[in-house]
Order: sequence, then C-alpha cells, then structure tokens
Amino acid sequence: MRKLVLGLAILWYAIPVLAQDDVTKNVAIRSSKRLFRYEKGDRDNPLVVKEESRTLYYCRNYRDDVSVVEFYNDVETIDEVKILVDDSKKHDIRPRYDYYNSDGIFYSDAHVCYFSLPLIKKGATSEVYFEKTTRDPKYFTNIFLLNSEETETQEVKIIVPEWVNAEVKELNFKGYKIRREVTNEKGNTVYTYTMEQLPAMMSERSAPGPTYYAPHLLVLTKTATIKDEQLTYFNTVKDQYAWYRKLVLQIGNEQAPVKERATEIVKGLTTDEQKVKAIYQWVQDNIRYIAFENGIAGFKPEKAQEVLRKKYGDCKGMANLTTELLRSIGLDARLCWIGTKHIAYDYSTPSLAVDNHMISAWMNKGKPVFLDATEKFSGLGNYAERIQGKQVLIEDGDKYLLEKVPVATAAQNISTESRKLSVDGNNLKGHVVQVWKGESKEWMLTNLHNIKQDKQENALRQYLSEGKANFEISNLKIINIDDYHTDLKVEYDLLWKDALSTFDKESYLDLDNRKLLNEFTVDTAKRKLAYWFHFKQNNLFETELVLPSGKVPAELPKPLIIKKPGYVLSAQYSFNAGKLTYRNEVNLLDVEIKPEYFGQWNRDIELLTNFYNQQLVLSSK
Amino acid sequence: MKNSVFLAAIFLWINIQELHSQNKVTEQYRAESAGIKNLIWSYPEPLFQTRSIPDSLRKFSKVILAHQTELYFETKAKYPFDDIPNRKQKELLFIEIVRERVVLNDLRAIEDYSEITMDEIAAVSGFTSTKEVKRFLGIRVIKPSGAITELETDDMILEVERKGVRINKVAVPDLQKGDILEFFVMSQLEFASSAGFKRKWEVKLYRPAPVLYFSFSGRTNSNRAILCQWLNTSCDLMTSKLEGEDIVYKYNQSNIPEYEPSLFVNAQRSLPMIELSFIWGCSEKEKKKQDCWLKGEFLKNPLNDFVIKELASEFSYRYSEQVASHTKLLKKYPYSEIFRYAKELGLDFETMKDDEKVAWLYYAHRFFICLDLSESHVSYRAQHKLRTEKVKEDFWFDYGDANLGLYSILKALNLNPVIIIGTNKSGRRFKNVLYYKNELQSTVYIPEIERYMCINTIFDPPFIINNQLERETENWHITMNRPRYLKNVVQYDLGIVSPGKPLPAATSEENEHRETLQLAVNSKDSKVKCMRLTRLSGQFKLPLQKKLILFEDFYESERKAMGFQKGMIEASRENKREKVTLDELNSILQAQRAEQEKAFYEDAKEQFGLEVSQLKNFRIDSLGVRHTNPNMIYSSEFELDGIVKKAGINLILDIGKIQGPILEIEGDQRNRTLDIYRDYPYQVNYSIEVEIPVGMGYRCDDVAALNTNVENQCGRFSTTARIVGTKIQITIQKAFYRDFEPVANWPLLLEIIDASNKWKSARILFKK
Repeated sequence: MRKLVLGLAILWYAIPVLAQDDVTKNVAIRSSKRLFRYEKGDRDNPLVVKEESRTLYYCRNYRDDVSVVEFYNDVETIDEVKILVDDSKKHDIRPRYDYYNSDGIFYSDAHVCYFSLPLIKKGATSEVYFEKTTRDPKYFTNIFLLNSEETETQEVKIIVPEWVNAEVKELNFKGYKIRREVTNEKGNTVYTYTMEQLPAMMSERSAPGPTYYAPHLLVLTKTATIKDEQLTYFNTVKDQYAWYRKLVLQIGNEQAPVKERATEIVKGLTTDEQKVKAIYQWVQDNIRYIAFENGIAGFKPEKAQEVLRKKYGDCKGMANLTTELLRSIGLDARLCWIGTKHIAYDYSTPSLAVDNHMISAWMNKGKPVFLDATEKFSGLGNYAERIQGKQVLIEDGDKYLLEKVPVATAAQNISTESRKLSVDGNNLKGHVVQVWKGESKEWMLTNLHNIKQDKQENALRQYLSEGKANFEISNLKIINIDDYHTDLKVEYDLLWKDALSTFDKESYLDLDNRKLLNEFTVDTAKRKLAYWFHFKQNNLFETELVLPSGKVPAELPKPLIIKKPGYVLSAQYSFNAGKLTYRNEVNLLDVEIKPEYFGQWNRDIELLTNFYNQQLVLSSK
Repeated sequence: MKNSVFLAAIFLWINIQELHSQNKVTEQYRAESAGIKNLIWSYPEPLFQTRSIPDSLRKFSKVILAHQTELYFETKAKYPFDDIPNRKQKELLFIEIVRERVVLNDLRAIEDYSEITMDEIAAVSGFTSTKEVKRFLGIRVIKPSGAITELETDDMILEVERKGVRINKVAVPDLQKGDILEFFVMSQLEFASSAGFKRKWEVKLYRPAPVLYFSFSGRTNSNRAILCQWLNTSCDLMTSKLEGEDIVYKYNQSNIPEYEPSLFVNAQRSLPMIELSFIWGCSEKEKKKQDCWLKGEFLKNPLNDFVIKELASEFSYRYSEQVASHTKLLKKYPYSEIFRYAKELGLDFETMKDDEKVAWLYYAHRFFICLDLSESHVSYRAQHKLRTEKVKEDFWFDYGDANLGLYSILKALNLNPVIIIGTNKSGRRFKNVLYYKNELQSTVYIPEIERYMCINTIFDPPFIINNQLERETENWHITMNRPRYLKNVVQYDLGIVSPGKPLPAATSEENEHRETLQLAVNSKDSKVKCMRLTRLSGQFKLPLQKKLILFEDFYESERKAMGFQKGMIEASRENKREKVTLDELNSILQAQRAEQEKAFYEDAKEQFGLEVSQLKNFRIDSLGVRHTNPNMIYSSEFELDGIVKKAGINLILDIGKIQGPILEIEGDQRNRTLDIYRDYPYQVNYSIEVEIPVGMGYRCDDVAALNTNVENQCGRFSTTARIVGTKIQITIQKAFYRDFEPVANWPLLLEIIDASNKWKSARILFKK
C-alpha cells in the first residue's frame, strides 16, 4: 500500500524528547496562491485536476537560498515551472528532475523537481510558479495549508464545475486565521480560503502524523458527468471498496502452487487455529517485507504465487498471500484495508488518503482475527500499536465489513527483569531473569535478529550490561529467540563489581542501573506536538538483595507512586528479615502525551528522577 | 582462468549487442544481460559446485564457499571499432567478472542480500572509479533441495541515464535461511588509450565472512605492462607468464578467516590486498629514448622511485607556471595589497628576521585571501552567513597544491625552502605507493630557521608540520631550480629530489585537551554549578574552532593583529562584487551569535555527557590561530545535572562522570590481532576544584580512594585528590603517548583505557 514504511522501533527510553530546531525565519513566504481546477481530460483520463501555484519568497534579514521541492509521480505531471529572482528572468537556475529515493521504500514512482532559489539581499523577493496536472481525481486527496516557511498571506482556491460533485472538508482549522468563501462563478462552485500569518509546518520526532494537527483540506471527488456519462469516483465507502475489489479481482491469483504450499505448512495440524498460526508464522518467517509504491501497483496486490516465488512482497502482497494460503485450505480469510495510526481519517470520508496498509483477517466463527505479516515477530492475536483501534475495511464479496482492530492494554507488552542478589564485599552477585512479551518482545527480536548469529550473544551482553565492564554476565541463556510466538526470556548470573561504595562503616548503593524514564522530560519551550511512544508498555524491574548479617539499610527512600490516566510510575524499597526488595514499575497505559499534559508529565518525571537519585545507605547494626 | 573461447564469446556478445538498436536501451540492456548470464552460469566452473560447509563454520552468519574474480583487459582494436575514421587513440576495454557463492545461515545474512543497491553492486568491483562502468548482474538462489531460483529483470530497478542503463536496486527473490546465494557482477569499462595510460585495480583479501576458496586470475594484452603489488601479505603464490600475446596471472587461497571491522585499524597497512596497475607499455626502442615500462612486463612489488620523479616533474611544471604568473601577481592582487600594507605599517622585510617575515606574510595572505570582505575575490555569496568553516575552503585557492604555493612564496622571499614528501600516515607505506596523487602528503621545511610549515585550514597558525607526515621515516625532499625562461612555462626538470630525514613525531603534550573546572554542589536541586575553562592544543583545536569561532571575532582579531584599519562593515561595503548593508550585516552577525550560544551548549553536553543548563558568560579567550598564541582557550559557566545523588541525609558526587563519555573496549574487541593506529598521540587533563558545601552543613572526610596511577610505555591514567580547606582539588591525567602501537602493546593500552573507565565510578561523599 502506498506510503507505508515499516519503521524499526527504537528503544523508547533511549529516545531523547527532541523537538525540531527552530525553523529558519530568515526566509518567509510573502504570498502564496494555489488554484485547483477540475477539467475535462481525454478518453483515458476523462477528469483531471489542474493546479497552478505561485509562491513569492521574501528575505527578511540576510541573503539566503531556499530549497524549492515539488513532487510528482506516474499520476501527476509538472507541466510548467517559472522562476523569477528579484523580479528578473535572468538567472542560471535550471530545475532538476530526479528519482526520489526514500528510506524503507524499495521502489516508488515518486519523482522530484528541485532547485535552489536565491534571495539576493535583505528585502529581496523571488517567485516560483508551478503548473501541475493530476490525471485521476482519486489521487487528488488533501491540500495542506502550511508551508515549510512562515507564510504571510495565502489563498487556496478550488474550482468545482457544476458537472462535478466534490466535497471539501476543512480539518484542523482551529487556531488559524483561515476564512472560507463559497461563491458561484459561471456555474462553477468556487471555494476560496484566505489566510494570514501561517507558521511554518512543524515536524517533530515521535509525533502524530500531520493529518492530526496541520490545517488542511480533504477533497472528496464523488462523481462527474461528462458527455452525459456519470463517472463515479468515491461517492461513498462502497465506491472505494468497489474500486479496491475491482483491483483484487484483477490480481490473478493461482490456486495450485498456493494450495500446495499451504497443505505442506499445515501438515499434521488439526485445529483451525493451529493452521492459521502455522501459516501466519510461515509468511512472517519466509516472506521479506520490501516496499513498492508506484501508480496502480501502489494499490493492487501482487499475485500470491509471485510473492510465494519471490519470497518478498509489500504489505499488500503479504496480505494477499496470507489470505490465499488460508483460503486454499478452506478457511475463511479476507483481505483488509486499514489506515495506520499515522493517519487521522477513517472511512467516513472515502478517499485514498484514508488507508495506507493492507492486512489479512481470518474469520473465526464470524469474528475477524487480524494477521499482519509485516510485523515479523508478532504472535497470533497480538496487534501492533500502529493498527490498534483503527477502522478496518474487510473484504466481503461485493459487500464489505467495517470493523475496528481491538485495542490491547499495556499488559500485552510486559517486560520484566527480576534479580536475586547478595552482597560480596563491594560487589553484588546473583541471578537475573528477564522476560519480554508482545511488542517489547518484537522490538528485542527485531534487533537481535539484525545481528549476525555468532555475534548475537555478545551484543545481548553489551545491551544488558549497557556497555559497563563492571556488570559481568556469565552463563547467559537465551530462550525462545527463534520461537517468537512465545515469550522471549534471558537468564544469567551476574557479578556487579563495585556496586557498593564504602566510606568508613557505611556503604552506599544504587540498586537500579536501568532507571527507566530517568530525566525523560519534554522540552516544552521547543515541543509543540503530542509525544507518541511506539507502543504501550508495562515494565517491571525487581531486585531482591540479601544483606550480610550485621548490615541494615539506614532510612529507606520514601515510596513513590504516581497514578495518572495515561501512566503509572512507582518505585519503592522494603526491608524484611535481612532481605532488601526494590520494585520499580513504569507502565505506559497510553502511548500519547498530549501537549496540555506536558507540565504534569515533567513534574512526575522529576519526582521519578529524584527517587532514582537517592542512594541506599547500608550501615552496621 | 577460462579459456580464450569463453573470453571471445563474452567480447563477441557485447559487441554484437552494441551494434544493434540505440533507442530501446533498456530492452537492449536486458537482452545483453540475459546473454551474459547464460554464458556465465553455463560455464562449468568446479569451484562453484560446492554446497556444504564444515561444521565449524555453521556458527557464522554467512560463509563464502567460493569467490572468483577474473579480469580481462584487451584492446578493442581486434573488434569492429577499428572502422571508425580519424581515430587517433585506441579505445580500451576492461572486463571484470566477480562471482561469489555464499551460504546464508541466519536472518541477518538474508537481510544483507535482500535488497542490493547500486553502491553495493559497485563495491564488488576492484576499480575505484565507477563513473564510466557498465555493469551486469546475475543472482541465483540455490535451495538445499538443489532447486534454483534466478533473479529476473522484474526484480531489478533499472534507470536509464545519458550514458546508458544503470542498475539502481535489486530485490533478491526466494531467499531463505540455509539457502546458497550465488552472484556475479560483470563490470565493463571503456576509455581512451594514451601514452600516459595508467589504471589501478585492487582486490581485498579480507572479507566480512569466512572464505573457503578464493581465486583471482587475469589476462591482459601484452601491449601493456603490469605493476603488481601485494599489500600486507606475501606474494609467493603469484605466477605470471606469457601465453600467446597475453600476460596471464593467477592467485588462489583457501580458508580466509572472517574479518570484523574494529577500532584503530589502518587497512592500507594491516589488511591483505592485491593491487594491479595497468600501464601503457613501450617498445625496446622507445625505452632507450624515455623512461617507460616495457610491453609485456609484469613486475611484482616494483621499486617505486619513479613516483617521486613523476611528482617532482609535476611540481616543476606547476612551479614554473606559478613563477611566471607571480611576476604579474607580485605586482598586483593579492600581493600588491600585502606589500602596500607592509609599507604603510613601516615593515622592512630586509631587516626582519626570517621567521617574523614568514609569519607576517602568512598572516597577511590569510587575511587578504579569506577574511577581507572588501576584496571582491572573497566571494560574499559563498559565505553570506560568514561561517568560518566554509571560508577555510577558500584558503590558498590559487594553487593546485597549497604547499607548493607556499613554497613558491617562500622562495620568492629568497628563503631556501624544501618540500617534504611522504606518505599519509593513515594510508599505505611508502614502498606501496604507486600513485602520488591522493597517496602522498607534503609539508614545507625552511632549513635556515628550522621550521616546518603547512597549509591546511584557515585556523592553522604558521610553523606547523602536516600532521599526516609526523613520525614518517621515509620521505623525500624536493627543491626547485629557478625557471630558465618564463614565456614557455612547461618545464618539467626543475625539481631536485633527495632523500629526507626522519620527521619528528608529535608528543601527547602537543595535542592536549585541558579542562579547568570549578564545581559547587547545590543540595536543593542536586545540580552542580560549573565554571569551565578549556584549553585545546594541536589536533584538538580544529573541530572546536569550526564550531565556536565567529567570523566576526576572527576578522576583528586578525585585523587588529595586522594593524588594518577597516572594520568589518567598512570592508564589506567596499566589496565590488556584492554589496551588503549595515542592517543586513547586523542580521547575519546576530544569527551567528545565536548559533554560537547553541554551539557552546552542545559542546558542554558532549564533553560531559550530562544535562547542561543555565549557560552564561561564554566566550572565546584565545582563538588559537597565531603561532605566538597557538592554543584555543574558551570559557563558560553552566549547571550540570545528574551527577549528584542523595544518600539519606548525605550527598554523593559522582565525580568520575566528569570525564564524560569515554571509550570502553568490550567483548571481542579486547582480543586483537592487528596493530593499533590512532590519529595522533594526545592527552586529556582535568584540573578540578570542588567546593565542599560547608555552608549547608556538609563535610568531606576522605578522598584518598580517588587517587590512582596506571602508567606504562603506551600511556598513563593518573588521578590525584586532596582536601585543601573547604575545597577538594582533583587532577585527572590521561595520555596516549604514540599514534602507533604494535599489537603486542594492546594489553598495555587496555590497562589505560580500563583504568579510565574504572574511575568513572569514583565518588565523593559529603556527610552531614
């Protein structure tokens, strides 16, 4: 499916809460005019959308260059580019046209037209004019109103002829000075949006996608009447499904090779669930995810037998193969279309902008069990955060079903670390068990399998010891590294050298070397968008320390328990019968920290950090 | 070696295809590709029949069962291109076929070959230049059952360029754990022949996976001479002979171990590789007239004295050109300015000491070329943001070789400079240098004043040696005779070459990073107030000079030092090419100052690896750009977070963390088989004064545990701590004495590195 990039998760507590650097304010857009007009095309493309844009850049402080970039692809063409530098056509700028390579996309039809536009002195202006054509209005979906530079005035006009039925939806306008005017000019409906003092488009890491926060127009082209013929685009979700369905029927899946493989995979298995699990795992194990995005191929799945032969495919190809394998052994499997969490829309607004992903569903007694084989190390019934709660369009012959992917709690992704230690001089020694489930496990397995097998153990040691030489690990056992439908577990003996600092008769000890979310505050001066963790988490870190006889902890730090709707943070010590117990829980019940809660979050993190900064004092009785 | 029938088939195939359609380049490429694939896959090569690996290698991610590189270098004169009229130079054709069979044992290996990019395909080739290469690729996957899946054209993303078709990316089909992947990359190069023809090709004998069998063979038309070098390995196994009209050469090796990239490796001096140079060959008759290589010669590890001669010859050519142009230049830009200012300042070159004279001219030249905004040659457009790191690119832009330019000026001043030539210490040994460009480094020496000089960056003071030549024992001196005439500047014989003497090795004292810190703990918020003074010398300076120094400050400092009157604003107004208003200039400077503050923040964060806040009073005390004041010194004040912990009613200061992020050597990296090459010897020293928070009721009883000393022949890590009144005085000294250590000294280096890491857990207890 177009635009889907299967990103490798990053360990969340290693992510700095960064905001984008201050957007340069040296260059601004003094005025921008964008005109979109439906026009009659040719027989192949009866309805096209013409776009004209004129952007006047302005140098506020000192001479500079601005990078101008315009994308196009198999459906969009750039028809004309005009450039004026300081009101003059005399310049050496030649737009360059090139393939656009994007990380994570193997092949895309995306092209880019780009050049560097000079602003020759303070107060100077340079102007850029583009003409573009979108040959199929299905691909004319949204118009974002923020630019990469601050914009002083902007006008966006959409001209809809009376023979076109289109709806323009305004989204995220709140907080912006945007005026809307709808007029009728010569039978055309003209939507005019004028706006002033627009900030530059924000881009922050670990943030929601722009459809959640950026002001934009969602254009829904429904029908058109050309030469007395009614053309239906996406009038309703039924039309969108019908188009998808048409593409599906064109796939050309072949039963025989698929059935042969499926029969082989499920050989000896008796229940449907066993068979589904085996097929799902086989696709995860054997089909590599390679992303393709080009024209119609960005929406039409590759043939199942081809994916089977090549052992690679994009989400569409993997979903189609999974579905066909299941169907070939008589199970009810369906193709599904879904927009990942990155997209704010649902199918109430039928549009190609609604979805960006395909998965499969096994209809178990009429209830869908979703199978996303692009999640390589995810178990059956475990759903990735990026699709949880999202509306999903399920194939149902000529009809369709609309369901939602179930939302899992943080308990799905439990990660525990349990240490049983004793004191040996200034060292601690003992045994450690760590277990990862759900998406925590998936993250670990993804990273482990990305390491050469003969280096895996060493890499895991380094990860567990955080590169600290005094955290010596021996007898390391990795359990279930190749069976990711069960929990991942490691066990090891630990010799933690010089964990205690002894001054005179007192020893000082910091039992927690993990310190989850330590200093993980949000820089509110820079960050404007919500912060999204990759997935919900339930982390438990426990240590049981047997103290030598004659040693007791002095005053224990006061327990910390913070319970908020989105998270629970707790840390506490207890001492009983010569045994000191430390328990730290970091539960992210919701992946989102909204900007209005940044202050509360920062205060809570500060409390947690202060707790972590307290040392235990062990004194003699 | 394949027999010549196969070779002829390859050539014939390519040429027949080239004669056909010019329009449908992609289709043609695909057809060519299919034909070549058939030829290569169908060739019965015994090496590529192996399918199993010994049990001892199963643990590896991948194992290379067989690697074969074949090289064909033939003139195309034998082929239809001879018919092109008025062809003065023959076109040459190289064909290289690299074929490899790999067992994939894990998912990482699958991932390595899943998608292959153009750069990865090009990296297989032994030719360093990739621009004019046409490539064909074949991949097949052999399943444990013996079934074979082959890469099809649909699995390739091809891009049509002006010069033809380029493989952009490839997605390899049907890859699973346990499969064997076999690929070939055929690279085809065409270029014009000339008397000066010389082409380098190399094959690395180290691989990121164990290799069971490695084979390399080649065949070259005997019109050529071949220079063959073996770097970091013996050449006993190489054979060469004449077979018909061709020179034939072969090399085989079994069981090459896996090479894992590690720290401090100089590949050119440590890892095995073969390099071949194909050179235009002359006849016996021509040999009598000129210095050249005989046709059909195959020289193993040849003496390379010709390299210095060639370099001297090129220097001679350029020097004679420069002298000719200097006669004009000395009368006008930029020297006219320099001498006019010298006169205005009352400087008399005749009475100045040589080193003063040299230094003054160096500074004046730097100022006029790089800093003086009134000069139209200082391209304001390119440096409109006045970033000093950008400006440096313009320094000495007049000269093809900056040090030759420097030599010319010194010579014009009637000094007797010498250009010293040696190898780049991070590159190969001198005996392995066959190409002087990029492989040799230069520095200038002035015997009268016993000073070295080198043009490198705008920040360098005069009288420094080229860092890449430090410690070089094998080097050469080149001096130039004055040109005999100036009209015809092409004079190749002015250079006089003589052996040099060992060059001085830098000491760790010359590359010092010194931090002087005053720390005060605040018990309320567990933060530490820090007053920081940083002094950098030698190689430590440049990165920070680039980050922190403002053009404005550099300009002003040099303007004052040089006694020039024009301030930055006046100077920029005089720039004829690009005028700038006062308002605009102020805007630029304001933006730069804001960036400088951020840079100070970032520097403190990077240095200490801790959260930094409340930065103030940041300034640069010395730019470190003059030989009379060569150290860069800067200071700032800020708060550090995450270094103080509460322990009941007491406080613990994690003083060990003040070292910031430091190198730790873990796991496999502790076992080493290769010599250690570092960029330069260096030392990092801290002088720290910690205020005991007496006012808040705390005391410190003992800091004896903070004292440590590890010293050996490779370096030292020592710390001292003592309580003086209400302060704790701490010193930390870490030094690595040399930029090269034999592998036998690795444990000694580890001692230093480990001691430094151990001290990271050093703590101070403040008791209440």
